[in-house]
Amino acid sequence: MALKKIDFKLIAMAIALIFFIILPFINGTMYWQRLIMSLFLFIPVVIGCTIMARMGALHAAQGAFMSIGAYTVAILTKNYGMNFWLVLLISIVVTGIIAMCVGFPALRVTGPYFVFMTWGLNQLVMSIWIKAETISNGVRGIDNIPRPSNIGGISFNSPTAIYYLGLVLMVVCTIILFILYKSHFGLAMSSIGQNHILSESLGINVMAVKVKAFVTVSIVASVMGGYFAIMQTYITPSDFGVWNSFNYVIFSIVGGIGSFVGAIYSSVVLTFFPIAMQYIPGWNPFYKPIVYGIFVLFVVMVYPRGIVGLVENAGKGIERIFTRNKKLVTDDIKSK
Amino acid sequence: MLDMIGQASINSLVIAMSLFLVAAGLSLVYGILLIINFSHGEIFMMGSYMFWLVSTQLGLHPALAVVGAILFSMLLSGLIQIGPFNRIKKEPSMGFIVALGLVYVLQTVAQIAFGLDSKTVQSFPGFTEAIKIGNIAIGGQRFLIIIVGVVVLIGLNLFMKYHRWGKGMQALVQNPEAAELQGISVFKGSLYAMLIGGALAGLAGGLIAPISYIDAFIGSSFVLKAFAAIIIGGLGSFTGTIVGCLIWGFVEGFTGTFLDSTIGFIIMYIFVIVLIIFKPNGIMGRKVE
Repeated sequence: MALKKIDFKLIAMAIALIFFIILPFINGTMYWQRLIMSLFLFIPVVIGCTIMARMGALHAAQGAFMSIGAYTVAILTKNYGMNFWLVLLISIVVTGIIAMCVGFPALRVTGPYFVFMTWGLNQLVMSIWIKAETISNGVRGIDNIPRPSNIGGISFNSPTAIYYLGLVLMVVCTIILFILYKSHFGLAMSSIGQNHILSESLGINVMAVKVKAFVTVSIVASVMGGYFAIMQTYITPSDFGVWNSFNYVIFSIVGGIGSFVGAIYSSVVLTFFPIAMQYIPGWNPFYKPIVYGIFVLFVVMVYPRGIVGLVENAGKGIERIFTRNKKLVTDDIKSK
Repeated sequence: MLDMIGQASINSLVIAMSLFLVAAGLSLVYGILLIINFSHGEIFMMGSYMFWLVSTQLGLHPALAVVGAILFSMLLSGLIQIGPFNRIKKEPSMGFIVALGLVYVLQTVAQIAFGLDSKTVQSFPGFTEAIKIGNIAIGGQRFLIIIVGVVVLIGLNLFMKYHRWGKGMQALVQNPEAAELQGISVFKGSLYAMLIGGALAGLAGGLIAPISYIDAFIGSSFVLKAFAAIIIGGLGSFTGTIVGCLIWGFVEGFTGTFLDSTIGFIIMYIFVIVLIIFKPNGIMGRKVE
């Protein structure tokens, strides 16, 4: 019976975290570290999409907010020699203001209108980065972005240090979003997703909840964008294009609609799926979108519980193996 | 200067009309299915490819190629309606997700079937010469687009007003449940809307292909602009849609001529934001939930 009390999700998360911490010691190759770093990047961004999807709003501008963070870091640290940590704070403020300016009108409308507003924003931000050649260097992007300066004796010159910085940022952002998701505030968001008129009549300030969630999610995306800039050390507008944003939206749905853990699972899939597919003979990276499309069609039409449903079913299966004997006994008693 | 303004107006009109050919189908489908059929742009793209296939590879007359494009787009559109769209509840967000999935699938299918390089096609025979009015010139193909756009606008309005299913679709837009009680089948209405939308997308694909190029990604930017035009004009009226298209076309045309088309996009985005704050139902639309 004690087995039932064990939370498999928690164990899996702990194992994953320990694995991430010891990875640089057991495997020194850059390849795996880079892969895991992009996983760190995806997790908070996809969770952001999930949180918005829980309110019934599909946030298709995560790429735009990531690019705002990344370009702020790149331009201010490279051209003006400012401190990375200060710039990260500046980018948080800038993103907050932009998200609020867009959020207030965009969140007044629901459904497709909101998708349009965020999609348009992403297109707009991209075209600004492409056209404003004097500051953003156009489609060529910005390279040689400096590493962050030392903080309290910790140097960020080695790739391993950047890796750990990513781990810390990912964990902090995920915990912030988890608190947002689980709190009273998160329950309010869930009720808005189910029926926003009814929630308003229950005394929830729908607009305030929506805007606060949108701003938080966008700021997290921008921080991860800033991390992306120093992780890659070069950025181009195409890193944050509309299709990237749509990928995040799609994977927030594939993970399980409105499920926090599902977003983490689907980030793992989003990171490792292209790698795994390379081993299929005749595979071409151009085929990737068709598989994503089939994933999302399958989830929406056939299996709405998504990846999280699959994992839960598998978890129940494992649990059944452990508790099989007991179950047989109880079945015996029942049959008698 | 006056000539430049005249030229810019003509260019804007062409942009507006080609946008309208895409937006009309999108607006019709949105009104009834409550789905932004994001894959509408991909149906348009497939129509363009069909036009290219029939006119250049088979060497048939472009008019036949347009018919081929229309039929293929209708088939595709009908399949999408019978398959995915029919299976989901009328939830706008889920509809968008399904359409997005279809976009991914169709774009990749187009890339696999037709290759990665972009294709070009010739103008229709008889419309290759530019027409000159004073100092203002307009390409024959562009002139054809304007004419077809006006015909489609009038035709759709007449259809909605006088045809049995046109009236039925209006009823479905206003109140699906009451319409169903009156014997109007939601399934048939949605199917007809998708078929008409598909036909318009195929027509647009065939007409716009000669003045542009064809590749797997031409659809999505059209859908973004077309949807903006629908928001500006207001849902549920083709007059509103054409007004939205004209506003978008003129802003894009004039900023493209005198400044930079990116500035036009910024202006339009801010315009849509302001419009949503003060007039959420668009310039000519009625109240929608």
